Amino acid sequence: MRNDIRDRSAVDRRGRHAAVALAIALMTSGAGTAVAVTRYVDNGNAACSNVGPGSSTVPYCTIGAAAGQVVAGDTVQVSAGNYPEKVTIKKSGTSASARILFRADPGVTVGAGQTIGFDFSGVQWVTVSGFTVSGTTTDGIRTQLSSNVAIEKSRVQQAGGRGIYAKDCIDCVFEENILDHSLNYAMYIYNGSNVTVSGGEVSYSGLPTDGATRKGVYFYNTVSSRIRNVKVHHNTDSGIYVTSSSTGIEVARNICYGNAREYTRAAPGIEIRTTTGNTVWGNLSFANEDSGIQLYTGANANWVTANVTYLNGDHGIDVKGSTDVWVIGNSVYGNDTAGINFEGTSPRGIIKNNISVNNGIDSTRQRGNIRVDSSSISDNAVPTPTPTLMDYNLVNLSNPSGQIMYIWDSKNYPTLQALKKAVPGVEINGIDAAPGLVNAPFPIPADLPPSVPQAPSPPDPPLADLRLTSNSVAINQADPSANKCRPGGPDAQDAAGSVRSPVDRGALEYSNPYPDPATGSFSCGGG
Amino acid sequence: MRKHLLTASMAALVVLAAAGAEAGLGRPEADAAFVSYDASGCVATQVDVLVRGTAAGGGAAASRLDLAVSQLDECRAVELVRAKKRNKLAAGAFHPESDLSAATLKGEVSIFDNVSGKQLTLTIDLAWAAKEEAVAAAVKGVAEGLGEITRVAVPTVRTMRLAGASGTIKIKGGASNFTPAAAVAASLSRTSFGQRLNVGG
Repeated sequence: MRNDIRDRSAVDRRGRHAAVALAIALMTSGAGTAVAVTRYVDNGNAACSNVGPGSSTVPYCTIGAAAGQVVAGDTVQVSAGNYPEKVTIKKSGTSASARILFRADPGVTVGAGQTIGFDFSGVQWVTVSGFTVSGTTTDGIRTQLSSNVAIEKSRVQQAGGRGIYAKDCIDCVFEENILDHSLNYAMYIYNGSNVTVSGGEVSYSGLPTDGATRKGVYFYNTVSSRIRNVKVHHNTDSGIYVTSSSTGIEVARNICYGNAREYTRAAPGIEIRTTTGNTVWGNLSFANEDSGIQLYTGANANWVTANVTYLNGDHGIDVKGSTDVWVIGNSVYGNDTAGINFEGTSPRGIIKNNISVNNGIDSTRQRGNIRVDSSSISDNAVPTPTPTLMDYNLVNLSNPSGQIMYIWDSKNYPTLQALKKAVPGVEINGIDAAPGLVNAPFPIPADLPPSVPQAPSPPDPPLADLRLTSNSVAINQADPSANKCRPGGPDAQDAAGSVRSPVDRGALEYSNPYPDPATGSFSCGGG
Repeated sequence: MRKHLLTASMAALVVLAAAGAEAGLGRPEADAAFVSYDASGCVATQVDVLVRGTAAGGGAAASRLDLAVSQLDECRAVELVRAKKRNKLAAGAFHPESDLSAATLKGEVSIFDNVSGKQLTLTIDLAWAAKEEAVAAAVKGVAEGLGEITRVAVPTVRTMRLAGASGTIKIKGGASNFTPAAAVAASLSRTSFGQRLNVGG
């Protein structure tokens, strides 16, 4: 039940005895019995007052004043204006249907010159919607020791620290937010559980100078969580970074491009480091300074499925020092070095159903569409070693002269046939043929990344379109048994959300017309 | 009528105060996330620390340390160190102040480095200092280790203070410090299982 604050005022006027009774009722039986109201905030209203009542005619002057008075189920409605205050939220809702909602009209800016814009301290069931938090000296929005917090449709810009810092946040949702130009990480999720980051945009975190680069979205020691449908670009380090024992993280259907340190090649689009049991599925990662997707140093048992990576400054998919990694059904095109790369003791991998074309062209580092070094072809276990499995991939070089198709066991093979002849049992069902892609530029464009517009930006024009043409040799040619999100998991959909049956090689099932990804409902069943 | 209401009010306050006092007996914890780069800007070092005492003995009793260290030359893609282990620490190694204003962690642990294939003996000398006031909340889950956030089955109150953390973690006898910069995030906390806390509007 919602009522205007004027109704609450009428109740209050009934007298002191009633007020005392209400207070005691709140103390002894919780806040859920209070009548939910809408409290108004408008510092542009000459009649505003921080002693209330917070009605539409006598609104609060500050958001903080309203925050101090809310009870479960209340809505705080904030009128357009600049509110240079730190809003500390210490009051909780009690359930999904009795949340406390802070809702901004268009044009509300909070936090300028303050340490923090919104600070959630040990609260539950609170939503902040539609605010712009700008120019804080440290974090834009911070939650600590909270649960069921939702931050949605808000923008955090020019934070002197992190854009959003979520410490020990459980069942929290960050949806359709725009985070840009934070000096520190745009979003830092530390000790979270069941955290959802969905939609919106993350860009321009950190500065492109030594010691000042920062990752976009950072999952630290966080479990059973997900990041989906976020556009992550032009951050000065990894776009999305999952590390430090984080597990059960689903990185799905994000668009990552143009992430770059600029002074050295080290920023990938998506990075999983020193952590296991995560799924990277259905993402588009292109024109990043380093690899499109990177699994580094103990990133064991992670699954990379149905992603599209192209024109990145290093590999399309790079697996290093990580065991039991599945790379299945991805489309990898025109990356500077080997398209799919397993090296540095990364055995027991599965590399299947991928399209990997025109990678490592003329590279002075590592050439090849698929590269598996000598330390990664097998775990050398005694008495029964487990090999890395490579099969059902479609590879091709538009101009093979002087190029390398595969590197296997650290030996170069210029053609698929040469590999098959030398290494029986590997890539038995491999295909070397022009894949039939809608738009795969060749020669490979020389320089990356694209321009650096100011965020929020319109989408950069796609540099390639790796959907299949109707006559593609990849159609219905994949191993359907490998079409899994993870061991024992559900069948993977493709990067556009299509059910894969029968299964095409690469990340995108052929369809005429192709489905609109924006209208689909997709899941890899994880996170 | 008014007298009865006031009596009820005072009783409620006494209950709340008692709950707060008991919460002070919970399990003390400290965590810290360190990230640093060497002078070249290439060698990244990550150190994750989570240490827990016991509810009965606080920091005076034996404690448990979850520690992970990784070091990678990001420019050359060369892995240098990767080690992770849960260690039991001797009594007194973890010393948190009762008001969570500060804590120290001093000890020596053995940890296997997956890169070199050798056991490393690390000497740890870290200090936490609270930077903010304590926040208490009824929580739905607790970090029981790195990558282990467990949903709690009983009412649980956690009190936390965001903190700074700094100090040294070195290979015994060596000069190189894995934590040359202050932690990028840290906290001091206390978890009281079986407790309730009245919070909210």
